[in-house]
Amino acid sequence: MTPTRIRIIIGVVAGFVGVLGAGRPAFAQIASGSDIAGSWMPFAHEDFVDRIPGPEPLDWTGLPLSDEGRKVGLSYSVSRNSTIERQCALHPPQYLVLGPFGIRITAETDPFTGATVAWHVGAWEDRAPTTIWMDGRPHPSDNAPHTRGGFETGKWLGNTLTTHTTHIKAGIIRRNGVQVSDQVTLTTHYIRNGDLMTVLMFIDDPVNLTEPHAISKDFRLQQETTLDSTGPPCIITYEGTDSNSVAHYLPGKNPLTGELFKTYGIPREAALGGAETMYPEYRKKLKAAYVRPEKCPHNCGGLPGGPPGGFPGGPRGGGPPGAPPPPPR
Amino acid sequence: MESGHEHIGGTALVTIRVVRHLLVLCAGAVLVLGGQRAAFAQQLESQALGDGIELFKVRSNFYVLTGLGANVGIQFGTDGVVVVDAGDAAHTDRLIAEIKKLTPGLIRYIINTNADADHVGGNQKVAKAGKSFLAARGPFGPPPNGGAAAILASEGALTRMSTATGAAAFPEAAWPTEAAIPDARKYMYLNDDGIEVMAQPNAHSDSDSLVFFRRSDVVMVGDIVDMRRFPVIDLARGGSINGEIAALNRIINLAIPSVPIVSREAGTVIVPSHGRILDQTDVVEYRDVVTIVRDRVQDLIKQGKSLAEVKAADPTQGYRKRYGSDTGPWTTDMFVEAVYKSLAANKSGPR
Repeated sequence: MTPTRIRIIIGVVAGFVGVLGAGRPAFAQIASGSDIAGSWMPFAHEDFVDRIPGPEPLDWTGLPLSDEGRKVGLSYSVSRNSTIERQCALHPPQYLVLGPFGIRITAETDPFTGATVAWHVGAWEDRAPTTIWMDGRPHPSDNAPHTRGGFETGKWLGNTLTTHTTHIKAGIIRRNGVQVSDQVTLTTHYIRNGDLMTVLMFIDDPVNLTEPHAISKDFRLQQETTLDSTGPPCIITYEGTDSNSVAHYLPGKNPLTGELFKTYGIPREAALGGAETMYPEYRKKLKAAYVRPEKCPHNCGGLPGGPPGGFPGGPRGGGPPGAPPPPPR
Repeated sequence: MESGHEHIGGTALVTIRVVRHLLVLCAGAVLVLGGQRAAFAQQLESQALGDGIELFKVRSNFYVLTGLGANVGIQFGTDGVVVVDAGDAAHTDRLIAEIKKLTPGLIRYIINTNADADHVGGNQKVAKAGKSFLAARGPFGPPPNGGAAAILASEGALTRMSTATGAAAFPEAAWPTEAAIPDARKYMYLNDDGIEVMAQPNAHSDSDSLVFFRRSDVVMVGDIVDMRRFPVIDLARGGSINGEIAALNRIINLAIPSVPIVSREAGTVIVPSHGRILDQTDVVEYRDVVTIVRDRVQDLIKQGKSLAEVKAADPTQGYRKRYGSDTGPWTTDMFVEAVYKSLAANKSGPR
C-alpha cells in the first residue's frame, strides 16, 4: 500500500469519525484526543461475516498476501488447533480489529506529574492484554521475547494516538488459516471523537504480505457498563489428537481451494488474495471471470434475521439461506 | 461534640503531617515500582553491556547473556554458579567478568548443550575460574580436571571432543568430566533448583542436550531450536531430521504455557543458543514448520523423486523467506539435502 493511499485512508476515517461526532457538544470537552479510557463496544454489523461467524475457508480476498503467505495458508489444516499445545494459544494483538469483541482501556498515570505513562488495553476471551507505553521508552532488542500482546509505544499526533507494535508472535490475519509471521509490526491509530472511536490498523509483515494490510474497527463508548479486561480462563483437554502431530495439507492437496467459487462464484485467483485484490480496479479484471450463483447459500449480507433480499450486490439486509438473488442490474 | 484533633498538641499535629507526607511518598513509590513490574510482565528486564553483548534477567537468580558465541545461561545461589554453555573462545574472559559482576559465588558446573565450538570454546578457562565440588574431597586421588569446575555434557559430546583431531581438537581440560546418556536420567539439585540434563540422540548432531531447571522453569535447548533459520541437521556428526523433530517435541512437552490464565505473559522460558528468548508457542510454530517440510520431503521420496527433483519441488515453500537463505553457512538447499539424506537413510519413514 502506497504512503499516499495510507494518508488518504487515515484522512477519510478521521473525517468520517469527525462527521459522526459533530453535533455532540456534550462530549466536546473530552474529545480532545487525550483520553481513550473506558469500555468500548464494537458495532456488530461491521465486517460481520469475518468477525462473528467467521470467514469461508480460503477466502483471502482483499489480503495483500505474498506468494509465501499464500503457501502457508494453503498448507493449513484447521485440525491443527485441536492439539493440546494449540488450544489455549491466544490471537496476536491485531485481533483487536480482526475479532468481534469490545475493549476496555485504562490509563496508568505518573503519581507526581499526573502524566499518562501508559494505556492498558484489556484482554478479551482469546486476545492478550496490551500496554501502550507513552513514556518514550525504546523497543526491546531483537533477542527479547515476542509476546502475545507485543510491545507497543504511542504518541499523540493531534487528536490521534498513533502507536507502533513490535515483538509479536506469528498469528492470524484472517480466521481461516492465513497468517502473518513473527516479523509482523503494527501501526495503529486510535481516533476518538466524542463517544465514538475508530481504531485503524496497518499490519505490515515483510514475509507473508507484499504491502501493509489496512483494517479499521469502530467502537462506541459505554456509559453504563464496564467491560471485563482479563478474559476467561482456558482449560486444555485431550481432543483425540496426538499432541506431537501437525495437521497440514501437502502442496497441491488442499481440498478447499474451490469452495469460494462453488459457493459464491468467486474465482480461485481472487479467493487466494494478493495486493491486487485490495483495490477497486480489480473488479474490472474480475468481472469476466465472476459467475453469479443461482442462490445465495449463506452469509447473504446483514445480520441474521434481517429482511430478506440480502445478497452481495443487492439491497442491505439478511436473507435466509437459499434466498433468491435480486434481479440482475 | 468536640472533634478529636482539637485535643492534639502542636508536636503531634506536625507528626501527623509528616506521617501523611510519608504515606503519600510511599504510595507514589509503590505505584512507580508497580509500573516497572508491569513492564517486566510484558518484557524481560535487559541491559545492553556493549560490544553486542546483552544481559537478560530471566528469573530472580537466572540470567542469559547473548553475544558471546552461543547464548549463555547463568543460574546462581548458595551452592555457587551453574553455567550453561561457555560461549566461544574469543569471549571467555568477558564471560567470566560478567559472571563475577552478577555473583561472588564459585562456578561449580558448566553444562554444554552440544559440542560445537561456540558452546564449548570457553570450557577450559571458565572451568578453571571455578572449583569442583570434588576439589576439597580427595581421599580417592586428585580431583578430575585439576579441581576446576565440573563440565557436564552428553556422552556424544564427550566422544566428539575427546576424539577430535587436528584443528578441531580440544584440550583435555575442556572435555566433559561427566556425561549424560540418552534415556538415562542425569540430574542435580543446586541452588534450590532441580536440574535435569537430557541427552537428545541424533537431533542437530549426536551431542545435544536439553538442560531443564525445574524450579526456575527454564529450558536451555542449544541448537535444536534456531529461529534465525531452518535447523542445522549435521549429518556428518550424527544429526537426523527425525531426531530433531523428536527433540522439538520433547521441548514442547517439557514446557507449560500460561494456562488457565491465558492473558498473563507467563510460562516456561525456553532459551535457544542463538536468537531470541522463546516460550512453548514459539517452539510449536517452529516444530510445525520443520515437521511440514519433513512430511513434504518424505512424500516426494515415496513418489520415487531424486534429490534434484525434491529440491526442484521446493518443499520449504511458504517458509523459505522466513527461515531460508541462499547464502551463508546453512542454506535452504543444504537443509533440504540434509532432510532428504536423513530420510533416505531411514527407509522406514518417520518414527
